[in-house]
Amino acid sequence: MSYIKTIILGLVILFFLTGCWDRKELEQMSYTIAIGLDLPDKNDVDEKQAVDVTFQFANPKLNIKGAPGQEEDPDRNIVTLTAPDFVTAKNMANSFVTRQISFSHAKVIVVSEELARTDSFYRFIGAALKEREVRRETNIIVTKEKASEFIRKNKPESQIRAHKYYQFIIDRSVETGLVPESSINRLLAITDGDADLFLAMNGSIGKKDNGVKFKEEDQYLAGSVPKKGGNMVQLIGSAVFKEGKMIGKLTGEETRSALLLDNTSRIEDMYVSYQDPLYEKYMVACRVKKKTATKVKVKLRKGPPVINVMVPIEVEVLSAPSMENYAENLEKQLILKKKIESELKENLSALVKRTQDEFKSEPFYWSLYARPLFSSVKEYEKWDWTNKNYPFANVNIKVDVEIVGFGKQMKESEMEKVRD
Amino acid sequence: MKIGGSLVKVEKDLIGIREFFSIIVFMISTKATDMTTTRLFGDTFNAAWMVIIGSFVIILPSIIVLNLVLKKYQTKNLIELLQMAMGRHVAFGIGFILFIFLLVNTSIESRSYADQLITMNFPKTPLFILYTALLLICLWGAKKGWEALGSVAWMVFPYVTVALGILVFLLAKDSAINRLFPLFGPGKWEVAKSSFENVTIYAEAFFVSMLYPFVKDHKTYTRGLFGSLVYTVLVMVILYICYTLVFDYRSVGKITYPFNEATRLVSIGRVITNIETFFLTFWLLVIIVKFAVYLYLVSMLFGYVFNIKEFEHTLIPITILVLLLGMIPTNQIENIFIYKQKIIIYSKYMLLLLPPLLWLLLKVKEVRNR
Repeated sequence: MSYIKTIILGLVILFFLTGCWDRKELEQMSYTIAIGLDLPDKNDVDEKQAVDVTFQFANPKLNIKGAPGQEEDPDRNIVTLTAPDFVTAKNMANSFVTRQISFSHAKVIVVSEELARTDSFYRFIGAALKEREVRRETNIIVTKEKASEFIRKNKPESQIRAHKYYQFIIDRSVETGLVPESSINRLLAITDGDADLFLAMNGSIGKKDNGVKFKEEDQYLAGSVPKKGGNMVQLIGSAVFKEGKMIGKLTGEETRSALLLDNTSRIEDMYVSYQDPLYEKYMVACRVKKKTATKVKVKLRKGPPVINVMVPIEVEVLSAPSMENYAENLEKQLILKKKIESELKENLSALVKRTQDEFKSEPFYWSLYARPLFSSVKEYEKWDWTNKNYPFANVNIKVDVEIVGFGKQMKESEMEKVRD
Repeated sequence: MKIGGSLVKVEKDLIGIREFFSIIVFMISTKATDMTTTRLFGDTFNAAWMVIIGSFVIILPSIIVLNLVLKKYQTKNLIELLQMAMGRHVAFGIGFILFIFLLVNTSIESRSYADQLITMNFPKTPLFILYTALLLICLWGAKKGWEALGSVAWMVFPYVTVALGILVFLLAKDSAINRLFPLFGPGKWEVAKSSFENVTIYAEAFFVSMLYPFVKDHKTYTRGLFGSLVYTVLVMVILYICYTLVFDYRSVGKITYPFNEATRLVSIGRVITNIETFFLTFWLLVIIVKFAVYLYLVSMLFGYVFNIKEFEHTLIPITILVLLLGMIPTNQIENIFIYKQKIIIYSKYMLLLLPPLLWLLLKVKEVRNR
C-alpha cells in the first residue's frame, strides 16, 4: 500500500513540477523598465489610433563584481515600434525580442509633450490600466523631446542599471521638491475627480554644455539647467495637466511652491537660497521644510469663496556667505525671518495668481478642502470648484517661518579680521 | 486518508466560540475584497462604507428575532423550525427555495473569485481548470467536516488579521483623508436605499443558523454570531474607507477589484515593491475556508430539505453542480451585474421577513396549544 502511495505521490509531484499555464521562468521574461510614448510620424492620429512605443528592457545578465564593466548596448535594450496601443505593442515587439515582455516592473512611462498635449494621452493611459501588468504606482514623465530620444540619450552616471536610475532619480527629485510625485493613480484620481490639475514630472535632454544664463537654483525648466558633463537627461519642473491634457509647464521653483501648498505631497530635503536681507549681493542658503500640514480653509459666501492658507515652514540656515552672524543676533534673525516670509509669500501668491489666470484651476489639490462643505456629490459637482469658483476666489496666503537651526557651525568668521 | 465511503463521518462535532467567530468573519468580510465593492462603489461612491453599516442596521432586527426563536427551541435547526411553524409541505417549499438561493449564490460567488484570480494573477490559465482546482480544494476541506473547518479558520485567523493590518498601514501613505467627503456621497436618500438593497451582504448570518445545533451552546452561538458580525462590519468599513482614501470617489467605482489594485499599489519602503503575492496567499486561505463552508452549508441544507441524514455524502455531487452552474455566465460582469443582482433583489425580502414570520407563527401556535 505505501509503495503505491509513494508512486502516486511521485507522479503528482512530477505533474506539479512541470507547472501550469502561468508559470514562467525568470529567464523567459523581459522586464520593461521604461515605456516611452510618442505620436507616430507617419500616421495621422485624428484618423487612426496609433502610438510610437519605446521599451527599455532590464538587462537580466548578472552584474558580477570584478567582471569587466559592460556598457549596455542601447540598440539591443531599447526598441521603438509603432502600434495601435502600448499593450499590443508588447506582442508586436516579440517579432524581434526573444522573451515575454512584462510591464510589472515598469518604473516610468515617458510621454512626449507633443502627445501629452493631445486627447490621445489620457485615452492610452486610462485604457491601458485594464491590462493587469500596468501598475498604478508607475510614474509619468513628460519630455520636451520625443520620449524615444529621451530614453535613448539617458546615460546614468554611476549606476548602470536602468531600473535603479529611474527609482533613485525619481525618489531623490521628489525629496528635493524639484519635481512632483506623478503616479498614474494620482492622475486618474485627479482627472476623474475633475476638480484639480495634475502635475507630472518634466524631463528634457539638455545639451552637454548649454550656455544658459545663471539663475537661482530652482528657477529652471527641464533641459536648461546650466552644467557641464554628467547625464544629458534632466528632471526639473512639472507639466500641468487639465482634464487629462497637458496645458502648460511650471519651473522647478513653481513646482516647489505648488508642493508646499499641497498637503498630499511631501518634500523632505529642499535647499533654497534667499537674498541676504542685509547684503544685497549675497544669498543665504537654507533648508526649508514644512513644519506641519498646510492649513487650507475654504469659506463659502455669496460670490467667489475665500481661501485662507497658512503655510508653516521650518528653516535651517546652512550658509551665509555674507559672514553675518545671524545666530547671535536676535534682531537680525527677525529681519531674515521676515525676508524669507515675504519672499516665500511672494512666490506662492504669484503661482496662485498664475494658476487662476492662466490655468483656471489649481494643482494643489485644494478641492479636498471644499468637499467637506457639501453633503452630497451632486451638490458639490454642481457648485463646480474648478470652473466657477477657484479662478475667482480670494486667496489669502500666510507664511509662518521658524528658524530652527544654524547648522553645525554657529558663528561665522569675521571677514575683516581674517583679511587683516 | 481512506479511500471510499469511510471517509465521511456522521458524528456531529460541536465547535467553540473562536472557531464559529472566525468562520463568520471569513464568510462575510471577504465581501470587502470582491465584486461587491465594485457594485457598492458604483452606486454610492465614497459613501459605500455607510452602506455596510446601514445594511447591518437594517438586517439586525431580523437576526435578533431569529436568534430568539432558536433560543426557544434549542437543538433545532432552521428547517426543523420551519416545519414546526408551517407544516411539512410549506416548509419543504421554503427550504427548497432557500436551497436554490444558496446553491446559485455559491456558484456565482465562487465563479466570481475564480474570475478575479484569472484577471489579476493567472491570465493564461483556463477558467475551467482554475475553477475546478479551487472547488476541489474547497471540497476537500468541506469533506473534513465542520469541526476541521472551524479549526482551520481559527488557525489562519491571526495571520490574516496581521496581513490585513499591514495592508491598511501601508495604504495610509497614499491616502488623503478629505477624499471621504462629500460625506454622504450621492445623497442621504440614495445611501439609505442602497443599504436596503444590499442587506444580502449579511445573508450568511442566516444560513449559519442551520449550524445552530453544532455550536456548543446558545451563549456561544449568540456571542460568536454578534461578536463576529460587529467585527466584520468594522473590518469591511475600514477596507472600504481605505479604498476611497486611496483611489478617490470617481476613480474607485471604475476599478473592478479594488482589493487587488490596493495590494498592487503598496510597497514596503522603496526597494520591496510588487508585494501583492504576499497578500494573495492569505486572501486565498480565507477564500478556501469560505467556500468550503459554503459547500458544506449547501449540502447540509440539501440534506435537511430532502431528509438525507448523512448529507456529507452529497458534497461531491453538490460541488459538481456548483461548478456546472458557475460555468454558465460568459463573463464576470454578466455573472455579477445580471445574475447576482437578480438574486439580491429577490432574496432580500426573504431574509428580512422570514425570521419575524417564523417567530409570529410559532407564537400563534404556542398560544393555541395552551
